Amino acid sequence: MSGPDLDRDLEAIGRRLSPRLGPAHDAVVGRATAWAAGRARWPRPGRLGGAVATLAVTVGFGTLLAVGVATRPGPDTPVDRGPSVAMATTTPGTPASSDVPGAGEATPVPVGGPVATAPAATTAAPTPPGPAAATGSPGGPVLTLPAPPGQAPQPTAAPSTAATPGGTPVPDQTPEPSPAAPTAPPRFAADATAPARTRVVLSERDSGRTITVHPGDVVEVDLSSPQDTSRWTVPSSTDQTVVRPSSGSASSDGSARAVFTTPGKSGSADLQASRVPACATATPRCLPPQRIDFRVTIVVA
Amino acid sequence: MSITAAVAGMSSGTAEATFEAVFADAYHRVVGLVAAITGDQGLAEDAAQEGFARAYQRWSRVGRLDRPDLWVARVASRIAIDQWRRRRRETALDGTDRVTIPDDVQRLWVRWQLERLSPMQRATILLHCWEGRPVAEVATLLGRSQATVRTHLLMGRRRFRGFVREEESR
Repeated sequence: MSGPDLDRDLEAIGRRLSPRLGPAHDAVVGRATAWAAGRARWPRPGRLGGAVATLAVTVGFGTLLAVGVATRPGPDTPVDRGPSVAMATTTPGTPASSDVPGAGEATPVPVGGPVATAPAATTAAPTPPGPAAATGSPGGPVLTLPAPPGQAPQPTAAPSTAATPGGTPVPDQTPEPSPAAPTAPPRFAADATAPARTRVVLSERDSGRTITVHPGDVVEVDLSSPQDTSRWTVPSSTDQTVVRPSSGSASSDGSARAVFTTPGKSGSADLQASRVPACATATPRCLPPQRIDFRVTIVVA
Repeated sequence: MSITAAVAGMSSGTAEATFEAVFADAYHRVVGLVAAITGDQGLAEDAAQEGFARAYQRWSRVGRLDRPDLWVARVASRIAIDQWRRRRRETALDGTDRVTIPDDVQRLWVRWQLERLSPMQRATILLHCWEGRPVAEVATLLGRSQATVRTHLLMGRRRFRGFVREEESR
């Protein structure tokens, strides 16, 4: 084997495979000219396509991730857990009303639904006055009524005259029930289109008021521990056909709590409870005074 | 035109004329070399033109080399081997062999005992034997290390001991 022999063989093969030198030269010059113009400096379509696809996928996933993170509900984001109700919401268990004038006692709220308390109305967009909507379910929206006139520093009535944290005086309101226009309407009315029932939370500051509810509503009475040594009795209903107690308990700290339902019969009933001295349960037992310290008239219409 | 004449033309004429001379003298051999390396006729012509086009672009530098045709042969060989590997992967996926070895290339392989070698081994042996270039220069031409070139030559020698022994002794 020698170089000239191989060179001759390769020359022969090349001449047979590409016999015409002119077109080959033109093709070579054409390629070089195209590169010089910059057209051929780009990657091959396959590689370019792969790079573009990779970039597009990366950008796409990044965008989706960014959008997902941006739109993910945060811990402070209110979650729609039911029908919309025009009321302020707080997190369950938040004593939102304890530091606001005219507010009732801190209302423990059952877990499972948004809570609206009276002082929170100052930050909410109240709806026109009217009875609370008779829709909802346990665990749904909760209404806590303002304190009645003369009992709390800030008696409240219509939403437009709602108590403010600054203690702005508001018009008085008649606590007596009226067939035409029930007194002390809830400051927050559920959306008329909302199918959910409404829960109304009452505290001792609501004593003496008249509340109008709809059949199916849930009324919760939450009486906080008294400042003295007395204790609250379990709230009861004067007409269980109109307002039926579903649960009730009295704690050792003196607080009491009861939940009532309105089966559907129209009418009115009183929810009442008494504060009894500690000696009433001691030995020897004293005779507690026969008085009603908490009374709220519930009108089911 | 011989390579010597082409180099003389580069020094006396324009760069374009020199490229034309080298192209006219070495094009067919480069095509034949690439065809002998890969056994692919279309790939040989395309790789050869690609190599000459790159040389045309860089002719101010390539034209000053001692053997511009060897530079083109190296570039064309590497292009052909890369494309041959790519096509082999595609062929392995397809399960079909779409390359038909030309008869004259087949005869060359039989004559020079290159049938069972890989394209890189063929390139190594052909460039080593072509113009009698030493291993170091072949390594430079192929862009491989001298150890790689020696390995290819060794493998070829084991397979075709009688063929390579004479070349190794040079």
